[in-house]
Amino acid sequence: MTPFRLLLVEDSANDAALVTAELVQAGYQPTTRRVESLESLRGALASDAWDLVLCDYRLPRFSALDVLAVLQEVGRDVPLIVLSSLLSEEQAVTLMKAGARDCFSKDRLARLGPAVARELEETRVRRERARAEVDREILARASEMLTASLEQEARLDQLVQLLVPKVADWSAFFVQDLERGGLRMVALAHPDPARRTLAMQLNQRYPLDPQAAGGPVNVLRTGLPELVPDVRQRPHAPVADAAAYLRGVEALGLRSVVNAPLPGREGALGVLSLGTLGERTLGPVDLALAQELARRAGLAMENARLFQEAREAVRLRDEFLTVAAHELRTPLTTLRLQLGTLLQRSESHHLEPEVVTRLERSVRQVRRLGTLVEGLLDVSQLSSGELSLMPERFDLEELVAEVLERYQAEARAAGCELRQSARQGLWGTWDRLRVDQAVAALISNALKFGPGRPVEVDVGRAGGFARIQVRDRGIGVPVDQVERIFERFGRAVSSHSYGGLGLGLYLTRRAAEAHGGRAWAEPGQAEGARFTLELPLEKETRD
Amino acid sequence: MSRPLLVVDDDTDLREALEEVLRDAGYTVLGAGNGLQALEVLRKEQSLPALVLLDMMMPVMDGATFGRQMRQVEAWRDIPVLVFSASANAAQVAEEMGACGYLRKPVDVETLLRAVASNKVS
Repeated sequence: MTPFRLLLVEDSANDAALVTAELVQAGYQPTTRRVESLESLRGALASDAWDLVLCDYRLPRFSALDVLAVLQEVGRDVPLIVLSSLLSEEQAVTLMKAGARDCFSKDRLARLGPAVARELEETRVRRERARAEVDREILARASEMLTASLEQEARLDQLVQLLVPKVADWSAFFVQDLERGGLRMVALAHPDPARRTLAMQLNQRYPLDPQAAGGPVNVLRTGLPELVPDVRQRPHAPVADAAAYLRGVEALGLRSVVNAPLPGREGALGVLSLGTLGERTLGPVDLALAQELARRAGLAMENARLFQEAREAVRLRDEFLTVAAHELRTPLTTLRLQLGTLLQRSESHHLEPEVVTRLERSVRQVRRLGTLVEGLLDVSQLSSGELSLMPERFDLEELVAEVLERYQAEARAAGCELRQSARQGLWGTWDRLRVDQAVAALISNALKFGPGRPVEVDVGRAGGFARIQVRDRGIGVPVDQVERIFERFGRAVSSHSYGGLGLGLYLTRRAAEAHGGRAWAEPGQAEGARFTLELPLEKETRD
Repeated sequence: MSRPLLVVDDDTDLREALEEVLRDAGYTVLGAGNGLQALEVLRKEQSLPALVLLDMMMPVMDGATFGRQMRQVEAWRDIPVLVFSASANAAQVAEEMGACGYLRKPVDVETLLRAVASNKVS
């Protein structure tokens, strides 16, 4: 016996009995409701889900065409079969065009069984397809939402709205709240705004009981989803006071509930709840949808958490670098002053030339330490914003000469001849410290990668820009690395072969960009590499 | 005799190194380990310093507080202050407290002497 829900639009009790008997004989067990007016038809359609409508052709005040119109008006996909005592072919065609699935005469009721079987099957398939379409649509939109860069709770709020009213009458998101010992509702979709507000308030005031044997808290604890087709028939009330629970359910008009856990790396992160009111029920298809949505939401939350953690780790690192750089500067200052004084006094103290050489070497190393410390600090500052410039007017060629002078000893040690193009004076307004750093980084780089060969430094103009080119005859830069070497900690070579923090070129480029200029490299394995730094000239200097 | 310089820094080694360098250059130098000590030095000394070389981060009383309190005393209001700080934002700090300039640690002997010479009052 196949049960189904039959809505009979029929004014004759005899005919109704006849139809029912015929269906029973055909192997059906219909739950039947008979209506005689359009009002009661509307009421029946609103309060219940029907599998089939059987309809007399002509009733005292309306016809089967009116019934079809009502069905369309309420938007219910329920097949309708017309039964009549006498029906012309023309009337039949009109009915079929208006959406009737079939029509036949009451004296040929034997046709009813096969027709019902066909309609129930077709409706089932049609409804499954429509549902699959709804699910696909919801999942697609959910994925879109979850990847959008929104605050987490705003995303969850959008997600629950997606489900109402297509899949359920209300939907809620709970996230784990360890402080409250259980779950906290963060999003709720409900048809009635007043009730929605009330529910959010109640949730804030009364946390869910962490010891509950069922419901969201239990789902969070066990990690297992829950489908309760009818909460009124739940074997164990999820709260201690069963009577109070039933009263609550009744007040809400609650019927079906689905609770799906949000899977996280270490247990459930929260729970997605769906519910229906009145006669509408939820089934395995809804559970599957809820689980898939919860899985995607869990993934998004997990990603957001990881992102947050990574950001916090970077912040801590930068803070550490800032403090470390700050702390290193005091001993560096002392050392510099001490060594500088000693060097200044070397003549009056009659220091031996060997001691002077050692002092000079120490001064160079302390200066190098200073550069490293500044580089570290700059990097931590840059990751939190732009370089701030302190512009002043100076001669770029003179500055380059100063930097080269500073690097003479290092160049000698590397066996490089440092050559600067003829000087004519190239004035502009730039940040002296930043430009000094940038030029120093290029020269230090050239000495490191082109030892034993000359390094040429050209200073000149190129349009509205001052241009510094540093050329070495070393190993060159592989074509695929010319961009990467300007990245933070970027290097074209193994850190096992060449030391350095990988910060110099990064700072060079950032300094150039902060001035409105640029820095780039040209490869060339055979003839070494060429690095260019361009800084904008002032208008009057350009002309 | 020319007016002394006041060096305020909590790092003893650094303060002594600074004093040495400045004395070598012919200055009379007074030292203080924090802002409170510096205020005491100002109170005790007959002649006002020609310049205060001021560290910012110090225990007991930091550079900013010292600067504010010094400016509240009529007689001390116009003593130039040269901020001598390890902070990256030394320039900003100097501007905020109305200092005559700033030096960022670490510095060379030459840079230090140049800055002191150009900012002190005679």
